[in-house]
Amino acid sequence: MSQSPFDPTSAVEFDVRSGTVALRGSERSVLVGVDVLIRFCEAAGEEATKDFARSVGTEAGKRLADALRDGPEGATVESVVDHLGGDLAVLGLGSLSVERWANALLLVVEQSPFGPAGDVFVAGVLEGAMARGLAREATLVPLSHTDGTVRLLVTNPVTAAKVRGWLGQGQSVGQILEQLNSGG
Amino acid sequence: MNAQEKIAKLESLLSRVLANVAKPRPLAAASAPEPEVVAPPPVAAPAPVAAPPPVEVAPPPTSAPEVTMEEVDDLGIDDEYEVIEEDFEEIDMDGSEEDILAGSEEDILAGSEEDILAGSQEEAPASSRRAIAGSLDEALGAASAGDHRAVTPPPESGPVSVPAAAAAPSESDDIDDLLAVDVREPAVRPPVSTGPTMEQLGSTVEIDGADSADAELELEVPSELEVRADQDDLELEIPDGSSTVGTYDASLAPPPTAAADLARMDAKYSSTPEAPGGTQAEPAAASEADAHSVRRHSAPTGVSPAKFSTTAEPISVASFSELLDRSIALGK
Repeated sequence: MSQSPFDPTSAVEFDVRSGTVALRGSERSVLVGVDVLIRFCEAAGEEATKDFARSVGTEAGKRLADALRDGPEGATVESVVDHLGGDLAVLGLGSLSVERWANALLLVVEQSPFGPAGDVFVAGVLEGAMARGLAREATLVPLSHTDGTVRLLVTNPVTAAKVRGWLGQGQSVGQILEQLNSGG
Repeated sequence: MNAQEKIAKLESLLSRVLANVAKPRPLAAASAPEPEVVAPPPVAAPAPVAAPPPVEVAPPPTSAPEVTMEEVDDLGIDDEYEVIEEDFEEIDMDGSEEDILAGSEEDILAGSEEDILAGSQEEAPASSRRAIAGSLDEALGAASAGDHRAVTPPPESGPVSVPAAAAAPSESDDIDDLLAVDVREPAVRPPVSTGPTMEQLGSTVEIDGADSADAELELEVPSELEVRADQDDLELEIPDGSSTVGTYDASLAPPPTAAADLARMDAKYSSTPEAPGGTQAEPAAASEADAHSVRRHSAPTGVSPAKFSTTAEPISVASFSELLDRSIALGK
């Protein structure tokens, strides 16, 4: 059964009379500026920011699960990218794409509204979306942030710690991916 | 009653009136009715000190001279005389005519002189630079002498400082002060145009035939180089199609090392496959990992929601979950 493409129609409903904004399938929402959100995350700390981001991603994962009629197990790469990316685009978090380097999966977010300091927030949103929408507990490690494009490696907590160590040692993204695919 | 009798009666009446005037006038208040005192009603504990002062309502002034009016009525004088007597008594109520005249004259004389002296001692306004007269005689003398040196400017113009040399020139001013004033003054004077002098005009040379109707001025057409020189140096011309700027001669021979450079560049970039995204990390991973990119379609409602690009044969995966599991399993 083919998946229907992402439909942004009425993804966001503005009721000016009552002063409410609502995302489709969610409760009331508010529009918050990027600068305000960054300051809030900086004040809250990394752990609190990640929890907050995972909550945002959980809502997106719920909408993703609703959109995947065949369920998360049978969803193709294209359909996941289409629906999850469309939802993140509605949230204003950028444009999602996927890169696969052998067995390594990278989630790429272009036009990220945050700078490198916001990569933790983006990673938390995607982690929450995967946990809720695809029933996979994954750890996302930001590998690079260039010109508003952040690349995040989808891995497990153990490998995530090793990758962070390699990044700290100054290894390039290519070297890290090669080590991962060679079983390092 | 004839006219003589009337005159005699009037004269006698006048003498009586004058005699009454000379007599000590009885107090009008004595014969006047008691003034009505309107006091507030007594309070429970009236205190004389705390009670408000009584309000005295004075009677109308016409009720005071009744005694005199009765005297006049006793004489059997007509009503017209009563009017005269009544007016006279009204004047008498305010005091005698001599007192009034004496008092007014004293007030006028004393008051005017005091006012003049007091006015001369007042502080002069800021806009006035005129010397204040010490007495009335000095002020009158100054006014008669036509002392109009200081002119009071309009109020909106504020105080004007007049140079001392210009305002009050004296014999003690030396020539330097006068010159200093002359140097400042011409700055505000409009220049007087008297036309060119004869030295500026010089001698006029008449040209033969200049007055004839056939005389024409022949202007030389400026050359193109002169026109270009007149243009603004900052202005750039838009190159047209005929311009040779940015072109090269195809007949030129390539440099001798061009073939070697191309071969080297081909060998360099053909050994490392280009990964999607254009990041620097992709070539190093290409030996083991085949890059595979899935992008979301730009038009979400389109038929094909994602763009699939690859540089090598992708590893076949059945679903996103399978790919996710592979990636999560890395490094364990």
